Amino acid sequence: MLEDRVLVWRFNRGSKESLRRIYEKYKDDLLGLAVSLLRDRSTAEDVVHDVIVGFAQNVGTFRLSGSLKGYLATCVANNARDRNRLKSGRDVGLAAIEEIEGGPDRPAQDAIQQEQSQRLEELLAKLPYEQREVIVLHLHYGMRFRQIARSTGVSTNTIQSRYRYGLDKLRSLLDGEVEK
Amino acid sequence: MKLKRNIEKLIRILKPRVNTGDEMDKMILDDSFAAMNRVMQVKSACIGMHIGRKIMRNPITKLAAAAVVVAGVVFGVKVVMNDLVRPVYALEQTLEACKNKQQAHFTFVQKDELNKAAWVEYDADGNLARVRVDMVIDSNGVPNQVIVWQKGHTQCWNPKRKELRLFDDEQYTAIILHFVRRYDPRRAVEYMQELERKGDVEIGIEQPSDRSKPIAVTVNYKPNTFRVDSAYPPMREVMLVDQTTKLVTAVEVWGIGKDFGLKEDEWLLFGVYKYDGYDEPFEDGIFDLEAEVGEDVNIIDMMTLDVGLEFAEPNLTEEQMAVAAVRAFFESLIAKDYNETARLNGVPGEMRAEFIKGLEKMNLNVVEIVSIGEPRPHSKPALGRFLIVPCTIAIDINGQRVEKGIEDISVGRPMGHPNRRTVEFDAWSALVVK
Repeated sequence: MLEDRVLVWRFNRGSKESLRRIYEKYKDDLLGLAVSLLRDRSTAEDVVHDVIVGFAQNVGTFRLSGSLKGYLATCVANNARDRNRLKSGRDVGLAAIEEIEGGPDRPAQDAIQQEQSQRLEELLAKLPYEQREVIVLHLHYGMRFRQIARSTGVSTNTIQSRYRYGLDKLRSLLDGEVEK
Repeated sequence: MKLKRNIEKLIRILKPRVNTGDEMDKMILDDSFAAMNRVMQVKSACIGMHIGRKIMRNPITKLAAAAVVVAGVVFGVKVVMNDLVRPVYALEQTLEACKNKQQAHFTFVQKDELNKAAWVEYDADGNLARVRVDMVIDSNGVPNQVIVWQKGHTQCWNPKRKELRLFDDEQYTAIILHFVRRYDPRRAVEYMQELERKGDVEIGIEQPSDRSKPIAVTVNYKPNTFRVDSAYPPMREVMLVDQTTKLVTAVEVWGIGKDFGLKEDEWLLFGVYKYDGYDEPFEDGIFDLEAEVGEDVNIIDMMTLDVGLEFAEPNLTEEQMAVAAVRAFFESLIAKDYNETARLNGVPGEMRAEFIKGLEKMNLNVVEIVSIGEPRPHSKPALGRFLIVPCTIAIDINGQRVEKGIEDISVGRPMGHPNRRTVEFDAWSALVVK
């Protein structure tokens, strides 16, 4: 997008206002991605912080190829993945899954969508991290399997398998809900 | 029903709405602007050096530059003399400054938030006596893990899971001693010098003329020299030393490159070890975890635990043991011997009933181990002592044989049991029969 290219050009010349505008533009998306992956708002905020500060350190040298939103989302996903693995508590067994905080109040007409979104988030939380990551990056952030494979360092086939198994698992969890 | 049929479409449109807060925004922007300033100051200093070189190539400006230098000598003699009499810093001065210190307390701070805290105590002979490390401290001040080590005995407390694990483990002791050696100033300087002699690190020292600014000792670690227990990419530490006391006040930890999600030549400050005081008394009971954890905690003595696959033969390689452990794990699933599965998965006895119930609900039907691939070290540095063992297994789905490739499986050593290996497995959903 042209606006992003102009912002990056100005940012590279030391414009803090441009960095502010980039942050304001994508902050909610990035936080949403980190929360979806990590299931913990506090850690998600840390991830967004790391990514934006890391981006700021590129002043003067950042080269945008592709979408700025995609680049920042990839940084968030990489950071979240590292944190998830560092926190996996392998020395002492399985890691606990933490609850997402409640969101802000919503208008009445969003109530049904909010409820469905909440249900889906609860089900997504039950997936293994790697499956949740692929589903969120592909369906929420539009990343292609090839891009996800590149950033995670596994094959495209593996990414597609994780995606399929993740959706299968979601469907089977929904089966369980319907049978109740 | 509707949700199930249109699941991909609905996941797309039901993207959660999350908003940042004012406090978070301010912190991120403040830190980002500070980062920009630091980078731009460095660039501006480098540009100054380049300009200097450019000037000197030009014969016309050389004469003018020489005149400036002469003027500087004439008018700056007093300043230069002051610099000449100031002693130059050497690492031995820090060694001397902290050689009689009995205790040290330091914290690891990331983005102005406490992440780790450590207390180190020596005995009268100068040997390490006790260490406590609170790790991955959250915003409420609750750590993910607390380790207390006393002369080879380790207690590991997980407050969120309410578990206290006890073990004696030589390799873990080596990790603790290495950690202390790296970050306790009394030991860190000797350690740095030893690494430099071996060629594992390069050390640079910058001593500002402004005595209010700290001396910076930069240590660049070559690959696989940063930790004893796992492979690591190149790292950097910058030790800040007070010019008056010669005591270490902080150590910055920097990482570089793709292994940390960065560009190849990009450095990132991970955090800072801050030294909060030398020989200030610790609070009572700080090394007594069993008193601290309270009653409602599951105490697990790892030394009496029967987990993992045991190897009587000492000559097997790590890779051979990893393959054997994975094979035993899947064989237990084929036989539906879930007690054995739990044992190989490192589940303590009192937790097995629940674990087995969980497996039974999953309706697993593994029928064959098709192949077990070549084990490889975990790609993430913090998990480097685990081996990933990719494999292919076959499950039966309503009479149809389906092969599944498994990547999320690794093998490691349970604490206190050097001859055993347990299997870490995260891909249960891949084995579920629908």
